[in-house]
Amino acid sequence: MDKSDFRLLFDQHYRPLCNYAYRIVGDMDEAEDVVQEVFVKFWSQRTVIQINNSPAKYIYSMVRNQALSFIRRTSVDSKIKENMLNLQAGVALDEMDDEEIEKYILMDKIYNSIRQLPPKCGEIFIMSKVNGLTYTQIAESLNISVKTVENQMSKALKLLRNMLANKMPILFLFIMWF
Amino acid sequence: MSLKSKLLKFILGEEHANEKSVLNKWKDEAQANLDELKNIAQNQAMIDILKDYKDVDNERAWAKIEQAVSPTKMFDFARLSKIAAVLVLLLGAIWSFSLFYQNRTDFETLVAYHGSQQSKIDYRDGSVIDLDKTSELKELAFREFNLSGRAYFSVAKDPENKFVVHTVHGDVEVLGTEFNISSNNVETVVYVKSGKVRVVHEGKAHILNTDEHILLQNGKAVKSDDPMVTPDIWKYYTLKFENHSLHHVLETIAIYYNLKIDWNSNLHKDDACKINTIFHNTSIDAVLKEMEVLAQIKYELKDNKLIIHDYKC
Repeated sequence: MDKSDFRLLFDQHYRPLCNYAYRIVGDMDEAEDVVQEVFVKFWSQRTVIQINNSPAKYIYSMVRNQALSFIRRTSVDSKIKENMLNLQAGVALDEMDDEEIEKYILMDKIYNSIRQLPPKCGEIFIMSKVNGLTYTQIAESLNISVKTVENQMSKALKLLRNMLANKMPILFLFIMWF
Repeated sequence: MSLKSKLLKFILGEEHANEKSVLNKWKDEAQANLDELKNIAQNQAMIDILKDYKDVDNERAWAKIEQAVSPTKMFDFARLSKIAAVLVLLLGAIWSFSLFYQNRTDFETLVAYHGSQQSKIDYRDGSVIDLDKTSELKELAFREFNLSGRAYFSVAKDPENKFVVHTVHGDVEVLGTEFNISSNNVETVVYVKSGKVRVVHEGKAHILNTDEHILLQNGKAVKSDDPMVTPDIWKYYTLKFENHSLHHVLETIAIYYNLKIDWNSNLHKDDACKINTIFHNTSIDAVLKEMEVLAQIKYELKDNKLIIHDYKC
């Protein structure tokens, strides 16, 4: 792996990895430290480590192990401890589930696509699909009509389908069901 | 209450005791019901992640990582003495070669560089030349070249020896600077990133300063200092856009792939349309396909020309 491949790996996975680590350590600054440490370790060991699967899979496993080891050596609250125990019970530490990786990559693509929506459209989409507000609640909160909310939602869904449909059939479920 | 709401309560463990048995029964009735429940649970998990999803500063993080992975400079005297020995040998060789070289009178073509793939040339005067693929650079004499195609020059200062690049449309002369040349049979564009260069076109000289560029065609030379997208981006392998206007993005893509861009004259160039994306070693077709999805651009690509008919954001 040369430096440009390494940079590509970083560009594609840094943000999803930080969010993955954040789910374990519960603090974004700590999560970023964990992920950066892993990238540095990955680069320094690139000539000696044996990667049987994809580099992404390897680096996700490294991040999970590093994040778990971080919370083991720091005082943590019970919720995070519980997360850690669930994670440890779920899979062996040297394995990483492809679905789990894909989920974070998918989330990153959705997040990135939502950021590209026109501002009002994106705000309404998040209020509806992510925060679970009804169209009436959104209309009241933004002081606009329910019809406008409906129009903006329809525009957001159309744009997101165009942006993501080919890559992610699962997004259809996300959009159609909720 | 809709079925979907009931199922959600079930997944989130918020159902009443009497609802639980009904939902359990429904779940066990058919495989399709179970699949539906799994889909909703999966979507709920995605929404949970999305709720807390956070942005990070990639560039700041990369700078930290890059600093950490750069080789550490340490004093290693054994290694240092080996390097010193090699340097002494090298200097001796250079001195002998220069004596031989000064006595030569028949100075002919020395080296031809063919960019079958993008390459970086460390020229012997200390200059660095990035040569694009399918381009060709021939050394005619010390610091004198013929160029066909695209190259970026970071020229080492040497007041005694001019640095000269000949193209089909004219000659570029410098003492020490950084500049980019894109040259084909139709036109040549010289852009100065820093310093000063002298361009001679059909017997007439034009001086270009930092950030100025000139377009040379047969019988025509147009100099400009209008802001333009830095034309040396082609030498990096990655195109990255973070909240850039569609207009900027398409202009940059055209320069990266050495295309001329034409905008439909009726098209209002809307800078409110923002794009976030990365292309790494991606073909122009794949790039335009993605732009078609992101901004619904309608375009034509023919004869090295990118024609933008329309777009919507």
